[in-house]
Amino acid sequence: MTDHRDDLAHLLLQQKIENFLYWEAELLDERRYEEWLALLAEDVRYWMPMRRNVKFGELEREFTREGQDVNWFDEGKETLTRRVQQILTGVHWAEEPLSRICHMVSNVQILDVKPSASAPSEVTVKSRFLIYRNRVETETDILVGKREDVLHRVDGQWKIRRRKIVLDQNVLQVKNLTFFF
Amino acid sequence: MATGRRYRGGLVDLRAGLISREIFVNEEIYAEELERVFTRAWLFVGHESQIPKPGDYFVSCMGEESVILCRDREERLHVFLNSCRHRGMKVCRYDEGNTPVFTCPYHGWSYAADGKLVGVPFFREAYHGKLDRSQLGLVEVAQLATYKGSVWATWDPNAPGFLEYLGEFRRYLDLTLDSWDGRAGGTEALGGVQKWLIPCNWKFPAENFSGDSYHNISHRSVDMVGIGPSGSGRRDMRERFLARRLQICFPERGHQTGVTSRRRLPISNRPWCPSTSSIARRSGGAAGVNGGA
Repeated sequence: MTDHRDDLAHLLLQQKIENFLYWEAELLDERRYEEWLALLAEDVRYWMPMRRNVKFGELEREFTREGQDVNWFDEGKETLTRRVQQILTGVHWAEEPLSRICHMVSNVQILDVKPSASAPSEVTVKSRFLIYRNRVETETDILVGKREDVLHRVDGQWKIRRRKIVLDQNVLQVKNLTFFF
Repeated sequence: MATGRRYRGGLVDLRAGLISREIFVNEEIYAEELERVFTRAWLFVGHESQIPKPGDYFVSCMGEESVILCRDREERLHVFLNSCRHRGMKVCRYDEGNTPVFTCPYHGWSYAADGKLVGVPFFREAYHGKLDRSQLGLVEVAQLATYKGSVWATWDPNAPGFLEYLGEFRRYLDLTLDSWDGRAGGTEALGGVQKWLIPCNWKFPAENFSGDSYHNISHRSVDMVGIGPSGSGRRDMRERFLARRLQICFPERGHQTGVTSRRRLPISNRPWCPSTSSIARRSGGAAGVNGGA
């Protein structure tokens, strides 16, 4: 019985976390930026390292370091909020007219749950993303990679407290990063 | 290769201060620039702090060529064309690291960090022992210079020395390379290099940074929400409001920059030249450095 209950708790948690990530993608793709911001904890860390080409055996040097090196993103809620505000000025020319964006989220794996699946307050979840972006007339970008999130439950609501974004590129293949991962 | 100069006619009108937009899109002009500008100008390659130890290397580029900036066992700096002397394959496909030798992945020729060809597999069998290995080191730049930590190189043995090439522009490069408290030098490179491609001609950024100080309207959204480099508003906003922006060009070497000054300066939209020598002597120099505060 205990095993069953445990399996069920994990299943339900998996379902809830997946739904959360899909809902987040929905808010971004439907340009509900302020509602998206509300999903981020006040102390959120949003980090996207760069990836170097390094020799086999030196893979520990592949990624730039959070807080020490130059990264694609290494920021908190204040900067994310301003990036949203910038889009909402209507004169942010990298996003005006607004891009048409589709976030595909898959391979959702719960790596860790604290204290338990039946009463979770913190979840570490890894997922894959495929972001399709089309803007103005013919500009099309496709970005693929992984995310590793730490979600916290605050007053019954899941919030993103940490997001590590690993883009599977070396030289950035898009001309700006004015959207969200 | 373009032989004629037919496109030159009327593309630049120095007297009127007008250029044809043809110079930004003509493929022949670009091909000739690669041969005549990027092979002759002193180009920025990297920073000494990126390769502090013997064997350290950092892959950079000069024009469209991949180059290796490295430090040999005697701690001397080198900049090599990243191309094997055998079949032209890149001998280094990493961004940076430390290595005793660069080994070509094609036939295994290997080069020490001083550029010498030190290993040729099957030397007797495949090359009949006849290669003069002493003549087949990596191609090295003609001149290399370091200035307050920054590393510069040119393929042209006849290019003027780096400081001579810089001329009066040196003081504006100092604005970038000196410490904020006024001490000379002191810069170091942080880890990680943001690399992306902007599908445009190389002259657009130069023009945008140093030839055009009135396009602020295009990034007005940045100022409206205060999302400057620090992430919480531009640290130089106050100065910007108080300041007058000045475009400066150095006709002798073709350098140009834009700076911001607290003092009200007599400016117009035309660049200010510190000397009155003929602008007509201006040839294709290095891209402008954005020396603005």
